[in-house]
Amino acid sequence: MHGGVRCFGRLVAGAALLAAGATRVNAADEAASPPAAAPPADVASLFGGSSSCPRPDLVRAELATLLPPERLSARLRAIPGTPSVVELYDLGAPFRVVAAGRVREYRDDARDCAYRARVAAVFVALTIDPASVATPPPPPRQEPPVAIAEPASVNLIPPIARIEVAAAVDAAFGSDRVAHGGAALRVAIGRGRYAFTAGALALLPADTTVGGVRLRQWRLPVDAGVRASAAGGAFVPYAELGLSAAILTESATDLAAASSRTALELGARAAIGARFGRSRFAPFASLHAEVVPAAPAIFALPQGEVGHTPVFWIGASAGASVGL
Amino acid sequence: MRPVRAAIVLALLGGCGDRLDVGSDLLWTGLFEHGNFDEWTGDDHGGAQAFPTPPNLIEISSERVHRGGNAAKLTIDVPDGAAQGNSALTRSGALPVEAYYSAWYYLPRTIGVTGFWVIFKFRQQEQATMDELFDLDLINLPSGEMSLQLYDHRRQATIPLDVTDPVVPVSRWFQIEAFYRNAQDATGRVTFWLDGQPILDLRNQAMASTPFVEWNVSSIGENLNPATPVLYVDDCAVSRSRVGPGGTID
Repeated sequence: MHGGVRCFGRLVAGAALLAAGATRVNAADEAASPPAAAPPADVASLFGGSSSCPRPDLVRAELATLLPPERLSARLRAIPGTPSVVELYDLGAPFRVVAAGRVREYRDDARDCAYRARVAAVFVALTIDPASVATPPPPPRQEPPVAIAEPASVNLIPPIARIEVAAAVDAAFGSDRVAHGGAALRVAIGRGRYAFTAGALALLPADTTVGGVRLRQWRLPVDAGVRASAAGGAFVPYAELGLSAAILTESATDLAAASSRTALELGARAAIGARFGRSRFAPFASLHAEVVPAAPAIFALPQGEVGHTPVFWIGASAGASVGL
Repeated sequence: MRPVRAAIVLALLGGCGDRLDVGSDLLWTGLFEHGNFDEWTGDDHGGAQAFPTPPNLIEISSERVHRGGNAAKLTIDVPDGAAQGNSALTRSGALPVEAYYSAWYYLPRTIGVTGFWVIFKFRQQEQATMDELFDLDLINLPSGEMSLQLYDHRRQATIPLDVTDPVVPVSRWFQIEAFYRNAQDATGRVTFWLDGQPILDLRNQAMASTPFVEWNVSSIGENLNPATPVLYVDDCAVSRSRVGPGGTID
């Protein structure tokens, strides 16, 4: 009875750790102090996975401090399905815990295995015996936060592709400043750190002046390249590098005999951006720059060649990213 | 990988670099390249005439050209005591309220002017001045070089230039361009450039008494020495924007 009260109290504290973003136990102390009680031996067969950090036996030991052995064994055995009720996977900085079909992935850059075992045990305890948590948790200790990622959706496999739709603005600073507003569509294909990316901007026409000649300018850029993303948490920064092409139409607005001409611009594009959140739908924002080394010349009579269209473009876009 | 490399090289080094010809501010040109005066006489708004003929002449010539293969050769015969000689190209009637008027001239040699010699002229429809308005004349400087002056027929007086004694080159093509806003109120303006350099700017005053505008590229003179001066004219234009010495009109 006395042991049951003690376990209940630790379970409540553990729940607070998970629910509130948690407190970090001193890893050295945790590693040095042995588990308070050992779980029944037959429970070991219910643990699976390939994790070495945390090791299953450490997790079982931590579980034994949270739930009475009889209750732990009964709750684990009451769960139907595969032989392994609890599975642990060491993914490097992240580690994944599967308990009774529920999946959580946490991040621990320090790879503190004892700490990981405690976190995993708390998650398992809350999953297999949520009724044990009956009272509100005490306020968390004011200690440095643990680098635990928010749990992702149950589907932890990253999407093979993302489609991004955004509002966009593209501006140039040449002989005359010009800004186009419009919409951006982009796709990034690949699950890993690097992905193929391609996009297009549908920009509205804008008025500008080149060498004193007033023009209505319409530009439709497309690009293709490579995206490199940082390892994902809730904030996924990325950078892109690629080649660009744009269909550029210039129409004189103030000449005695005005006409429209279209050219193809070729250049290079770079971008930085970030996606916020790991769900299928996530907002994102990005900045991009484009260089057009051989910008078309504007020619009008009687002036002749009055200048070139912009060589350097910068822009921004913000919208939604959809994982497929 | 070769197509990828080629695309990168093309994008970063070459690109397209197209020239986008977006139009023209030229309202009319007279280039003489067709070997006739049709650009001037082909509609009801111009002319090419010398009188009395003979001895005064206006003809297409390839002896001296600014660009292309032809120019106009204006010859008058005006010995001392003889009547005024006239050889002139004219545009009139359909000209806008404001425009730039440009012509290139070639003067083979220095001419002594004891009477007058008009090479660029604006006319109006006004009986009081016998339809005359502004004459841009060639004159002699004390140094023997040739220069310009503007004569205002309304005032029957010469208008001092903004620059002192600009020298008109001999045996070299030179450009005279004018901006003329024919307003009947104080917004009127006429400005002249010699080879791109402004020489006179009359602004904030009424111009012709009516909206009618006539422009002459001419050799109209009296009492000149030698008595049969030749003046070549080429690449004339009326434009909504300034042509300038570097302008392109063909």
